[in-house]
Amino acid sequence: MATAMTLREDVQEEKILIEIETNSAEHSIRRSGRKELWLEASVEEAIKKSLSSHERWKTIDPSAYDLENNTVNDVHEAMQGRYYVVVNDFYVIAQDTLNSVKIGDLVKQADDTAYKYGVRIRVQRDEPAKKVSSKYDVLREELKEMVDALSITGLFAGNLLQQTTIDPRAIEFLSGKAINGLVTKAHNLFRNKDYKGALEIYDVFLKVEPENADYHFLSGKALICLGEYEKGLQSLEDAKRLGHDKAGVVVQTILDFRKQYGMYPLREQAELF
Amino acid sequence: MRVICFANQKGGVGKTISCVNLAVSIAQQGQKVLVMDMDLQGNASTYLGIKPGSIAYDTSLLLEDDNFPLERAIVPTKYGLDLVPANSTLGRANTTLVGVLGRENRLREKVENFINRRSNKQYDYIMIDCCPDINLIATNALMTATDLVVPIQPKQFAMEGMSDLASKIGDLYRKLDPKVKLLGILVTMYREGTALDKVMVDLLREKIEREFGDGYMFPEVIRGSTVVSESEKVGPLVVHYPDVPASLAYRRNAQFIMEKN
Repeated sequence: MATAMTLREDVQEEKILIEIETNSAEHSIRRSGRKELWLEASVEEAIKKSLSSHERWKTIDPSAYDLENNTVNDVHEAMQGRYYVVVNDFYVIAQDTLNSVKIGDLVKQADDTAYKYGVRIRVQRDEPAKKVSSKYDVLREELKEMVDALSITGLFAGNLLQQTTIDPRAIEFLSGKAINGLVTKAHNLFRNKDYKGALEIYDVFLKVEPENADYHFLSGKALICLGEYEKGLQSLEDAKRLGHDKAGVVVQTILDFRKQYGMYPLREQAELF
Repeated sequence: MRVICFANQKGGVGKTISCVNLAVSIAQQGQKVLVMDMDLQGNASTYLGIKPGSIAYDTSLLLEDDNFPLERAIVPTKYGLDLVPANSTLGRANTTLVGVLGRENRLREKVENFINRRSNKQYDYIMIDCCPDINLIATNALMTATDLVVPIQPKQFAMEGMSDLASKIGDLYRKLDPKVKLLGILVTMYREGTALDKVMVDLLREKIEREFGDGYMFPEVIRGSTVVSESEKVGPLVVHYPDVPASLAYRRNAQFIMEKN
């Protein structure tokens, strides 16, 4: 009887897994294929399911089975590595090096169930499994770039757009109508002398379109009105450099004012620019 | 009222099972829930015990017929919630609506009219099981929804598929201004104990927390198991297999939905 069996290499040793597969003749493999049953209900249920899909178990003669070596102690002795329980043609693999009690319970149940259903059971041990952490770490290293590169911002478009503070990532998801609405909102805030509110919106647009002369100009005016002259002048200079037709005049007016009066214009005066 | 849409253009990721089990779990908490089947395969209807061939009205009428009100399509189920069933005729809407003005908002109008009529049947939650693919039917669902749930398998192709979905939803925003927000990403068919699945989920969770903040991943992953598959034959897991891990996970995730408003 062929005993080739592939143990899962990506199994972590932190939970109990029951894995059932045939190791007998080819026709069995072809017919029943590889089966996996997770321990959702009970070991008994898992084994029953695996056996019911395999015709041969029904013809087994219980008197032919030797159960004397199939004890829970065998499993406890094999706790250092992989071990599995063989039920006739099926391997019921249990592995969990972290929790011996669970393993003991698992195999006890398997043992009892095998006896109840008149099938043979024995416990085997394989070479110790690879360290889980290394497998995890290797996979993590391999997949990190792929996951990090996923572009999933669109899924969060609604969340970003409905935040109280505008997230620059949201701008690309605004419809033309919504962009116009936001620009209008900024202008209204400016008109109502809420320069900080207006500036927040202009800044967001600038992050998206850093070469937009209009946004630099509006941002510069808002900064001047907030009394942040150095920054404001810089924004207005940027607007001028980018070809804004009024920016140069405003910059010159502010500089002339400072030259004449030795100070920057008051907010009320700046608002007139 | 919240309208929660379960969408992923990839098929077989557990949209229907997740939608129905979460809906039943929420209904079990005393909330009034309506499940809307927007998949022409009618799997949510079948899963809730309504045979697609036995229904008089279905979701296609909501999309195609101006005068057909939502109330008429609602049928009760034995699981403590109501259903608007679907069958294969729903697929027709993708073509019949093509030339219709306001075609993307047909369902939203029906739901808004339903709310405004203040009929006896009002719901705390409408949960929409979307078809795979972002077509006109799914667009109607997304335009109606307040919340979006994206069920996903922790697999490389599924992750890449999520990028495509994100791109399509982004387009939807640019063109149609929906109001839907992401409620959460729900990992399904998780293979407990496998390093690969754990790595995928960990990496995705870290990316989302880093880029968008906490609370966008459902607290419990749904483990794949034969019981989950078998429930397709008998009905919702949370009713027929209430103690299996997947049922417990759905109940905890239902709590997450109710708490996250």
